[in-house]
Amino acid sequence: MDATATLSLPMLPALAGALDEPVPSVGSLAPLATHSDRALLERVSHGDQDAFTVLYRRYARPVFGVLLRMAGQRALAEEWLQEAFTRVWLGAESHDPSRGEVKPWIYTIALNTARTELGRKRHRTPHVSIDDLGLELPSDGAAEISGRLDAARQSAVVAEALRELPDFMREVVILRCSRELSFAEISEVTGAPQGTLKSRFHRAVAALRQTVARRQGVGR
Amino acid sequence: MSHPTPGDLLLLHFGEVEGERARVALSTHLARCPRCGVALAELEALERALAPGATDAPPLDGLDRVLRRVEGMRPARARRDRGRRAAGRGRRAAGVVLPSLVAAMGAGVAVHLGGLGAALALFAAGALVTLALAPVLVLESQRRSS
Repeated sequence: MDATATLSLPMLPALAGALDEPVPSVGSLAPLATHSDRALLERVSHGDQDAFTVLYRRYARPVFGVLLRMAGQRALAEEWLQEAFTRVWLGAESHDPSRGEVKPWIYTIALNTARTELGRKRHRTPHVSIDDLGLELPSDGAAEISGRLDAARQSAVVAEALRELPDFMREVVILRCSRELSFAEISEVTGAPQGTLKSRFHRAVAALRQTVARRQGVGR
Repeated sequence: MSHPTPGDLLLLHFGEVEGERARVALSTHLARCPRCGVALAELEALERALAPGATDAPPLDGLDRVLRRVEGMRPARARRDRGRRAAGRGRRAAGVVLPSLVAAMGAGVAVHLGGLGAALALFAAGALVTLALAPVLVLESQRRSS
């Protein structure tokens, strides 16, 4: 493996704490918060809005993270999230517990929504280059700030490189790096065998390495 | 140990290696192999770059938006439940109204013709007709609701 061009990206420390906020659970929803996904979805299929609310709060954030990376634009991801959960509401009965758990089912809906909408809107979506993001380092910047900006810029480089990948590669990287789904679950979501998924991931990393090295080389 | 496959490295990085022995063997190799260490560091960097950030929170009014959108739209099963309940109410109502109607008609005819015997005979005939038709009506409503 070529060690000269590697992905070397610092964490975004200011953002890490934002992930730990507890999910609010109030009033009549509190008893439902302990229900399993299956029990909630069963209630949703009978039109129970409280159960739907609990299910939404459980999955909206991780699903939105995936959609945001697929879309590359917040407004688009918000639209897809709304569409995906509308489909969850309407299609709750179609979930077959014998064929899998609720979580992969929800991600399947979200991914299908993204695929459909991407196919529909790809040609209309304006491409925003990282050079237009205004992430230039300040000339007198303190180390911490410049480090943060550098991290943000590098994340943007990776995000943009990721968008250059074919959908089938990008999906597996985004889904697995979300840390919400195992390869087995991603196999359920995408319908691809686990071996194929690992191979796609590996090829995606190689492609990203090249793209990032090229962009970083250009940026210097 | 020879170099692990890229797939094994992925499983190790994401904590999906099955079996403690396999995991220890991979980790031991990685600790000594700079080449595999670089590959793993690359995965870690990629994951950090894609780590969720503050802007990854869904919109605050996201749930409200969905609820507003689905208002008036009922899940498929709920729609069917509603249909079944309506059909059940219809059957119960028919069960009350139909015999009453036949009985009233019988009583009317009997009053017109005169005589208590004729009234009772017509009433009994009406009741029999209703009882005979009831299973047919029930089966038909069940077929329509399913």
